[in-house]
Amino acid sequence: MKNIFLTTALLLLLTPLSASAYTRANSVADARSRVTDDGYVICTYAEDWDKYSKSTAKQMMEHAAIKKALGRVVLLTLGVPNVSSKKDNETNKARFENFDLSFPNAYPAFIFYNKEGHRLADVCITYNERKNPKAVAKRISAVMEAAATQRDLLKKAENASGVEKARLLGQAAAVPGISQPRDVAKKIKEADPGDSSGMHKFVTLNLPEAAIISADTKDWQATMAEMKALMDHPMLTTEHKQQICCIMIGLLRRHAGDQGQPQMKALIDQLRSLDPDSILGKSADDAARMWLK
Amino acid sequence: MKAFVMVIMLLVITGGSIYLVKPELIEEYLPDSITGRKVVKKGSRKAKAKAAKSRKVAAEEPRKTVKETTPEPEVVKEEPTPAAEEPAPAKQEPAPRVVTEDIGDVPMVIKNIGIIKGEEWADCAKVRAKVGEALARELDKGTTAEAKKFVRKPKNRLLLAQWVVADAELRSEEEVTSLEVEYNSQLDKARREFETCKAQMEKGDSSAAVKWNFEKARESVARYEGESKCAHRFSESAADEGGRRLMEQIGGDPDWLEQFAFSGECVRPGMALSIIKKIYKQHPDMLKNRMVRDIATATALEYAKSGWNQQDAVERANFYINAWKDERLNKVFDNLPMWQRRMVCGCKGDNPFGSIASLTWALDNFHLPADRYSGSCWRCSYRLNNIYGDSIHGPLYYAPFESNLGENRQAMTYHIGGVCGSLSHFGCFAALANGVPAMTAGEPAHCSFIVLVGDTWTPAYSLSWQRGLHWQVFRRVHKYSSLHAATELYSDKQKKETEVSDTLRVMAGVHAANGDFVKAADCYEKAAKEQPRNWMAWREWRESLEKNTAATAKQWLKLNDTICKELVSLYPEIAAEHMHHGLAEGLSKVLNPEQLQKAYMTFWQNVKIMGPDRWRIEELADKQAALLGFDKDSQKVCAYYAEVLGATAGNSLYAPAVLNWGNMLGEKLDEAANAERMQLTIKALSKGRRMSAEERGKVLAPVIVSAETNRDLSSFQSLAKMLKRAGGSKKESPYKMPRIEGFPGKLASADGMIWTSSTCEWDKPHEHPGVLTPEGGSFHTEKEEDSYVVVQLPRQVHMTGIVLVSLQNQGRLANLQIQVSENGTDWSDVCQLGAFSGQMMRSDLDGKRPLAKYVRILRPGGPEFFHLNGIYVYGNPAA
Repeated sequence: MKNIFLTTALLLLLTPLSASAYTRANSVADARSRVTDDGYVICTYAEDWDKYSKSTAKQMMEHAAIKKALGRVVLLTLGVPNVSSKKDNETNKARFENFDLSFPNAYPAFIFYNKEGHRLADVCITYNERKNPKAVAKRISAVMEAAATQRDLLKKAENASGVEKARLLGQAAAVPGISQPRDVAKKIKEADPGDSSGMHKFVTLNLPEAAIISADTKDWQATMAEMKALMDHPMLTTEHKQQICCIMIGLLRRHAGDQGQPQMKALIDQLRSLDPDSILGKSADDAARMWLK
Repeated sequence: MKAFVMVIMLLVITGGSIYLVKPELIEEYLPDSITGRKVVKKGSRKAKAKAAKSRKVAAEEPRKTVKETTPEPEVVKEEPTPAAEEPAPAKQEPAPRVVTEDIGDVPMVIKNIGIIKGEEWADCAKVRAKVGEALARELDKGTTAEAKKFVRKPKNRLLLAQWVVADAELRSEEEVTSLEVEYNSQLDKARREFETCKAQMEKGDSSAAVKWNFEKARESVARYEGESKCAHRFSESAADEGGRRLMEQIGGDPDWLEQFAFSGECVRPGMALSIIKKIYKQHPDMLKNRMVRDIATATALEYAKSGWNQQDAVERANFYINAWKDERLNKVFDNLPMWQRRMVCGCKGDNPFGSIASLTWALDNFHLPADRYSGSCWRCSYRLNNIYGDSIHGPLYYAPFESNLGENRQAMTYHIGGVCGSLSHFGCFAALANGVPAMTAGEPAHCSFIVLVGDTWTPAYSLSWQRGLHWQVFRRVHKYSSLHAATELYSDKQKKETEVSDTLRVMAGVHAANGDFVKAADCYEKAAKEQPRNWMAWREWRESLEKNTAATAKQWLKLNDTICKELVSLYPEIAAEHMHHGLAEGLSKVLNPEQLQKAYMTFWQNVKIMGPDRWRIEELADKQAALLGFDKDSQKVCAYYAEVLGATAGNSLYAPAVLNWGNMLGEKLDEAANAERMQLTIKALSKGRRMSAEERGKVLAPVIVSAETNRDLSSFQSLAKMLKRAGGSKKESPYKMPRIEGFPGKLASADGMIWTSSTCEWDKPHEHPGVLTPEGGSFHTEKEEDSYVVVQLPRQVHMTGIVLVSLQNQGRLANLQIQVSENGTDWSDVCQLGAFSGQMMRSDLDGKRPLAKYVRILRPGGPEFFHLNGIYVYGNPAA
């Protein structure tokens, strides 16, 4: 009895550890049969054109911190040659079925997909990081946490309807560090056709496009007002707000003359203070130098 | 005395003001008598130490960045008109140069197996004469067999390389002098700008803008001053002990010196030595480590060829040497032939994408297999305006990000976006940073790039075959074919022929230098025949004829006929390039009109293949017509056109292009002359038979299919116009087309081209052009699976919608799929259409606005026929 108890306790103790390790799969079919909520990861590396890539990928996959960070994903691997033949591409397409295999920015990389096979994020391992698996593990953990947050929100949204559903879907889309859920704009529109939640506006917001349109606007003051109103949207990120500041600064510079200077100065200060270390935040000093009198 | 005191006080006050701003400026710009700085004699220990300090300061100065404000247009003709600049100062003789480049002790690691000592390189005229004599003794017969035997020995290869390098140094003198004048002019300008900023600050203007400009001006002055102290000639770079010892080894080693002489163009080799010396100082293992040496040499040769800043060259070489030592580069870099290594290490040395910050960022962040760089440009956003709303076609697009990202143009483009120029440079330099050969290229109103993928030069983000290379392996040859010709010229497979050809070329040069142009021409002919891909052999042959005022018509004809026989069948575009580079003019000076026309026709009679891509056939024909004086005489030009068409009518590759040329001529002719031209066209194509409209269509059908197969849009459109003209104004369309309800934007497909997955007995190729017009046309595929039609648009657009018309058998056309592509090879699905309702199918794409240069309508499944009478693609131009 005592032995049974101890064995069971031991098993129970060990199970969480083994359950938190990823599962290697040899094929997509195999992977699909074993996938958990944590989804899939493809570890892709250079086959023959880079000295470090393959060994780095191997080391990373075997490192305890990485294993822990990957949770219960199903892991597949993909070696990439310097020049893929047509046959290679067809083989990979067949092997990986509907997985989005568009290349990451650098190799080796971990490419993350949710349970439905939707691509979420890439974690590319730089040359300097190859000896720092803990730093890579940290980035992987961030992706996994973001994916889990998004997953939870989407699950809640499934059980909701109307404006509440739209709101939850919008929040899922807003999770930083991973891509928006598939067809999220369409789903929000279906749940909240009048967009009283403001979520459709949020997920379809394209401020760089707005900047292009603002360049040729005939009624710049109306555009200014529009941007100002948009600034109050509760879902906006810091970067969104900085982009709005830039658009407004541009409008003032092109149309308002000297009278626009005080407002331009205020916007430049706001641009900087929102995130001084970001690219847009740093552009505030150049903007001030060039355009403030 | 009073005046003297006042002057001293003024200087002290001025100096004091400057000192408050930038103390170190005092030393630079006030006379020694004021600063108390001691004058140091050249050659003394203090002079050397001072020079070393100057070099250190120059090395530590940040680079001046060059702002890219507009995408680079196609190189040859469409350069934008430069903005008005202040008048250049009058040209002046350069001031006597003071060059101090002592690099200290250089061990003798490589044995000199030749007859020229290191110190002799300071006088290249003597080197060339001495080596020339040796070569003339050894190669007195001037035969190919003799050359083949000669080149087997390393000592002999060294002699050849020595002659070429010495000759190149002498040829370069004029260019070196011009460069020095230009540098002095730039230095003066920089100094004036600096003085202006200084004056502003002295007046109390301490605004951020003035400080910014002051710093930029100071950097600029330091940069040009640094360059003005660099050696530009062997007489300077090989003047000190270190330079002599280095040149003893470079000039005494056949492998090393051949890289100077035979890996592309050798220009300003003395400057290249100066750069190598600087690199050697940081990498003394150069003498023992072959790759370090190769990188240093490749970089030096390219920077010297273009006359770029020498300190930049050192930084560039450092980047590749360190990256290679850390084994970070793509493996392809290890085995690159020298000419490609020059491309990688030396591409666009004056471009901000090639800054060390940019290259480092690209190596860290875009580390890809070679075949992925062609798509890497799309990782950046295509944006006409930045987030401030400023246009890419102005100076403000990147300006707000200059202080943060100015040095790192790769990161700038990645984060801010750009259009074709930035995106193509991004993709190109992502490849180059990783050691993969690539270059940008100009196309009409567009910038693309080319990447070496395996053994294939792969155009990327390319909209047209009309491509002008931004990096040239042969000077002033921007043609795409030159890349392919060079690949073969310098390949292992062609190595023997190339070596023998270069041997004969050098011998020809020796004879030409001695004034024996007859022997020179004979050797050049042998050199060119031995290796027709050897651009330099052809060029130097022509140049020797130009220099020889007694050159006869026979000699010029010999050159022309040999090109037409040996080169036209391999690389017709390169052969045509010789025409553009002086051959056509040379012939026109020595031949009478009849002989000249015959000489020009030899080209058309011998041309068979197209080469790597379509080329500007019409441009050659135009040039010939102009030199014949026919461009002012419509009858004569039509007759010439008919003759050229007659020579090429049987060639399905060239007939469409010549027809296109005919149509271009037709735009300048009146109606009567055009009618005559049409008659001549039909006569040439039908070889004299009388034809009905239907027959005419059938005669032109294979030419249309050829144009489609070759993806030759301009010829396709020309043929469309020709068919329309042939039909006359009274012709009605046989198709009763419905009224087309379009979509926002332009009818983007109007001047496009179609091609289909197959043809069959019911297909009428002469009706293909009509498919894109409101009058309608037709195409009809075979009964097959997954049949399709592709529409190639004249330019890339964001599609807003598509309309399809089918006048019969709509039942065959269910579930058509619309796909788009940038390159005509990789397709993305846009939407699937349902069944036709009536004769028309419309699909609104304004919500998606897919980017398209090619639109494919796929009929999935089958086997089934696929036919339509009208395809209309709507959208807004993207580039």
